[in-house]
Amino acid sequence: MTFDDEDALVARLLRAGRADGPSARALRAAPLAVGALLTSTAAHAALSQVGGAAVAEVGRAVSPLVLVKWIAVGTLAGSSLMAVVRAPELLRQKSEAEAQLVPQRAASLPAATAASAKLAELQPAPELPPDADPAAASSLPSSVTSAPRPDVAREVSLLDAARRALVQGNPAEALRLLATLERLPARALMPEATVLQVRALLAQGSRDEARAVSERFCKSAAASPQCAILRTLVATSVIQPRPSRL
Amino acid sequence: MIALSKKFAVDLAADESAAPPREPTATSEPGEPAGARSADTALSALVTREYPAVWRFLRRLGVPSSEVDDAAQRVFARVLGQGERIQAGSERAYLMRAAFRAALEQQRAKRRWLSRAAAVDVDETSSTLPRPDQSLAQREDLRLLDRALDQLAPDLRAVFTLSELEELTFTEIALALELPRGTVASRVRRAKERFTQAVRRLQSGGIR
Repeated sequence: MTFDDEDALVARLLRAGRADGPSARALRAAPLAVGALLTSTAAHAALSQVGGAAVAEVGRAVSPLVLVKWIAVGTLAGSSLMAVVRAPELLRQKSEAEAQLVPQRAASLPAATAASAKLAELQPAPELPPDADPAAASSLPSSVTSAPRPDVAREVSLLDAARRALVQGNPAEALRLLATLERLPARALMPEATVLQVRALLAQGSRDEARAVSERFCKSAAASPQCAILRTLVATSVIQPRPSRL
Repeated sequence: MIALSKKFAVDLAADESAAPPREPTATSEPGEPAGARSADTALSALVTREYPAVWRFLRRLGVPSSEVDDAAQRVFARVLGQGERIQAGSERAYLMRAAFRAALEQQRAKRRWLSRAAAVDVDETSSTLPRPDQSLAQREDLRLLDRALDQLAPDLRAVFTLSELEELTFTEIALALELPRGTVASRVRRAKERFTQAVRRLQSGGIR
């Protein structure tokens, strides 16, 4: 190879390197993904300390309003993860509690996490021994024995897939996956799914429907943390890209 | 000034004219709070503008194609989330600095992982999967480019990539890699020589 050939080859390689880049899809999804990461890295706290006129725009760039959106994403992801991670442990704890059948069983339930409580409610209640505390027995849900058990792993898997679809800019796919969830006989993560559903509806521009879903949920669970998230999402109409643009 | 204080502001508003055209958003309405609109737009503009450069830098530093998007997103989150004030025009240098660190961490992690799984071929883990939007010739050139870059030490590889591929000035590279400008100049010169030698070696060995 002559020096000229060598120079030409090096130049060609450098041109190829300069022309390389992320896929168009990854580039479009990047802002959304970075925003989600910012929430989990406690960007809010860091940016709230940034002062001065020169940083006014960046201060607004990650304002609390926007962070609410990502907090909602984080909450959903965290809840899903915790449900998966803690489910075996919680089930084991519950089995141990059932084995002991102590009168304090009912009192111990509120101390468990939300996922644990949901799992516990949907587990068949054990029969109490004759000497068990009647007060404890009466505090147990009366209908638990007939309730079907939720398939938490499947729920989490579908929620994750829906969340991924949403982050990748495909709210229609997210809504399709969430519709699959609705067909499950029992659900432990319905509030989390509702938050995701509202976000997907907002993302595809169905604001009225999003508001309706949010109001329906809050009517039945006004005190839940998801209700507050839903109200904020709908009220602030946080910016979501159209499916075709992300 | 920059290297002394490390306190800079990302003046995104000042830089907005250089940003790519904004995309309209679905739920952006007249009644929506201006802060939220401005927030998403400014963040989106910065990420959209700088993402390709960060992506390319990470990729040329050897981050596998399957991991480079995640790595690039983390770089942005790290820089924007650490609360450092970055001066307008210096965003890329700060991002490149974070990207260089991330690539080194990734390489260290990979080496640790490989030491536990000795049977894995290093080249296999970093090979580029074909992308439909790249021609065969372009993929071959990128493969040879990456193989040649693999022959360079990390510090030379970084300065070479920033200088020859990202076309940053020596001053910008000095800021990004926290090096004296003179050191950058000498490393770039050395890196060019090594890179050319590596290409020659790979060509003579018939490796494409």
